[in-house]
Amino acid sequence: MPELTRKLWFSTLLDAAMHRAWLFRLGRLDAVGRVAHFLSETNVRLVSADLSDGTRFALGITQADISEICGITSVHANRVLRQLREERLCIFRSSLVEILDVEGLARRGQFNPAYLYIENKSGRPDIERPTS
Amino acid sequence: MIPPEDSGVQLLPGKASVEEGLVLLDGPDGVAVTMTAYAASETGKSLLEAARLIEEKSDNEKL
Repeated sequence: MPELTRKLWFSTLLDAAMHRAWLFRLGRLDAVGRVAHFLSETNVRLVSADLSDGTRFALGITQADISEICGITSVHANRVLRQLREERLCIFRSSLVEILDVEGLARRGQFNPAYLYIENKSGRPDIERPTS
Repeated sequence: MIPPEDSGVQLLPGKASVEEGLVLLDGPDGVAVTMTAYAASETGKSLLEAARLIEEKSDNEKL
């Protein structure tokens, strides 16, 4: 299969997988779980782009944006972010996210990064990923 | 008949709390709703009434 075709298919399948994960997030998780899932996913994606060190990353969005993304009101988002901070899972302040407990946050959001097809720790991709 | 726990019917109650003068309802399952006190109160009454009808029917069937 030509390389460009493979890359386009990979991108399409990745988009579809993320849409399925987002449907799960909005349909089956409570408010805390939705935000925890979103922040966990964002962290993994930014790590793969070298924009997160695995626990800290810049996120130039507001609480209102988070509420829109997670299908909750801004009042609810405010309470959820405070709850995540009080549970020592994650701090979101001044467009900076600091994850205090990566595994705990992922557990709270029932987040499994497999659908993102990110390379594992061995440096080998879990599936054959198109080369850049 | 599919058991309730396998059909998406919720067995556990949701939890309500107050934030900034509004009522937040978390759960059951993926429910995450923010309501005014009026909306929360009326929803609560409606839920209680619906539950009462089921309990009454259940009691009548036992007699």
